[in-house]
Amino acid sequence: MSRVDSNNERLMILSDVTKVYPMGDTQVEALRGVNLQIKSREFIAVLGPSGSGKSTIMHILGCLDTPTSGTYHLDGAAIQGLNPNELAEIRNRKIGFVFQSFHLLPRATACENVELPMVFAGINATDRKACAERVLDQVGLKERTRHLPNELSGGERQRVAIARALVNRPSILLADEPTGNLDSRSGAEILALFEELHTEGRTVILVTHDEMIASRAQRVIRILDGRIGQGSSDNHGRKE
Amino acid sequence: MSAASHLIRQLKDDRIRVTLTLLGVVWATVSITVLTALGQSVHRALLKGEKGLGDGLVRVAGGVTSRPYGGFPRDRWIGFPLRDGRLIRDGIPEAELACAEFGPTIREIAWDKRTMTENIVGVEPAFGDLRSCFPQDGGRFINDLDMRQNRRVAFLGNAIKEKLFGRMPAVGQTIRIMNTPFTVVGVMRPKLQLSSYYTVDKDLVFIPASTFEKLFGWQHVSGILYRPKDPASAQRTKATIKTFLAAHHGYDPNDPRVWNIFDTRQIAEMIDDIGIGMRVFMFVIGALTLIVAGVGVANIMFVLVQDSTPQIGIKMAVGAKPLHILRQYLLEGLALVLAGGALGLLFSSFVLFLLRQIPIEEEGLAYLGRPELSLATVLIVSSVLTLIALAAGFFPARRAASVDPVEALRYE
Ligand SMILES: Nc1ncnc2c1ncn2[C@@H]1O[C@H](COP(=O)(O)OP(=O)(O)OP(=O)(O)O)[C@@H](O)[C@H]1O
Ligand SMILES: [Mg+2]
Repeated sequence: MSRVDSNNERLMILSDVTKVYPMGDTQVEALRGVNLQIKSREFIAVLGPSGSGKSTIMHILGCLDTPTSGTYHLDGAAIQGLNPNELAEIRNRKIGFVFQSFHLLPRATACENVELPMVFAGINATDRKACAERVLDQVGLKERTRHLPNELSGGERQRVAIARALVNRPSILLADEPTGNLDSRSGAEILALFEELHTEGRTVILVTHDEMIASRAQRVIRILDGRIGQGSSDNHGRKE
Repeated sequence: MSAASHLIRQLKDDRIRVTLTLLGVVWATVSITVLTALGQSVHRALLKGEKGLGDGLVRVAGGVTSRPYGGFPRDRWIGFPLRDGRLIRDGIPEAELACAEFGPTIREIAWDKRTMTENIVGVEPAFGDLRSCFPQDGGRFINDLDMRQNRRVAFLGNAIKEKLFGRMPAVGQTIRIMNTPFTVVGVMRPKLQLSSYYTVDKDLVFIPASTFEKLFGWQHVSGILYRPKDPASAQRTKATIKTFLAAHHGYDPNDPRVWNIFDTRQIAEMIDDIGIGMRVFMFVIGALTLIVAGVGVANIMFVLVQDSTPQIGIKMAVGAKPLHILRQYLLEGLALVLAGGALGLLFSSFVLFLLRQIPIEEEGLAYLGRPELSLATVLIVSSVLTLIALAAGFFPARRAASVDPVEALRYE
């Protein structure tokens, strides 16, 4: 495989990944042997019913969690066995997360929330502020930089979260039901934003249980009971 | 966001708990600071009180021999006559203000219709300077002429004057000692004296040693007092006087029983030991209070970490390393403690200011001295505060740093 053709590069590779949570005397098998390859600049939907393991996969792909067994390679490097500092560094530089419930710091303004990843990247305050304001402008929140999260609508909050995910220019965006808490109109706007970000050249992985949303992606990965299920499809043809 | 601004926002929500914790730190800081300052001032007051007896004063008295010497058997009484004071004064210049002292003897004194029984001492003029018995305005101490002419003059301790004359002026009045008239020439200026070898000076009636010798017929003085000119060679001066007196009176200079000595410098050393012990004791009590306050700080920090677990998860998701989180909570703990400490120091200086307003002329309060907030105290208290803050912040901070981000994000 050649590094020259970046479009075909396998960016993320999961091999036989399992995730087991201890639950008192028993154990919950959230993932039961997942094999998955994701190329750079793909737009992928991870689809499945509640409790199927979608979020767990996303956390592992985003280096927020590590597999119980199996291997995960990101950008050619093995992730299992990295220490918390190294994982934090990867999350900071390569990954942008967007969550269903936004996960903004409640007492920080929109601008301060967007600055947060840059704080941990060691960027100085002036540059941070300028950069955060620019990205907020990009997601259409130029007028809301000084607002606190509870002074923003759901759609606006999710835009702040997206701006925060973008601000360190990661190549991968991971979104866990980003429209789950939004009305249909804001949801559609957020979805359009993700499509745009994908077109700009980012790898986008979107977790959802909504077939309609999933159909917007290039490829749909269906999860059932901790396994990749039948009918995972490739929409590449449809999109172009 | 800086740790401080974050802390302030966080603390707004927890106002009551934070206020109580802060008060704990303030109280602990005040107690350690005030106790340390008091320890210091009591120590100083004791030393000063010791100096009231005479700074670096040595008193030599006679005794009974315990060894035969020069053909004489043991158990011989050796006393020093009045002239020995002058002999030492003239012969041993390194013994400053050497003077002999008679008494005390308890006698009846009277003025007008008032009669009392008091301690009378006979002293030489140098005694006044040596023992800091200075006259109040309009009076004087016993002088050389009084000595030479065996004058019947008296210098009164200020308490005696008070008892005998009340508010009336005493100088120039004639009192009677055993029905012999004496003219009052001076009254002692009040001084802080916390130690003595019989009675404090304010309760004494001083008359010239020569007059005393004549009036009461004593052959030997009660003691010879002096102050070593050079404190560094005080031991050598003592030895010189020892040999001098032994040669003069014919006894063994190394006979331990004749040589009856009282040295305020030894007492001062003892006071230093007591002072240090007292300060350590008070510091330990203060430090214990501070540790209790530190536990309070640790407690509120644990609550803070608990309450902000989702935020910790968010920070980790966007790339915060455990060290970032650890540092944040350590700094927050430090900010909390140092804020309380600063308030505490401010309040302490106010408390000490109030303590200094207490009139300490009263006997019992004299030991209090004038407590002040010294730089040393501030430095010691600040470093103890910092240590406590780091200790109190460390465990909550470590818990925060070990939060599992996935768990924390699920937390709500
Ligand atoms: N910390 C945990 N301890 C125990 N079980 C867990 C834990 N986290 C997840 N699980 C279980 O693992 C399984 C997969 O969870 P996951 O959150 O990945 O599901 P999901 O597909 O994202 O569901 P949803 O659509 O409801 O978000 C579930 O059965 C869940 O109960
Ligand atoms: Mg989920």
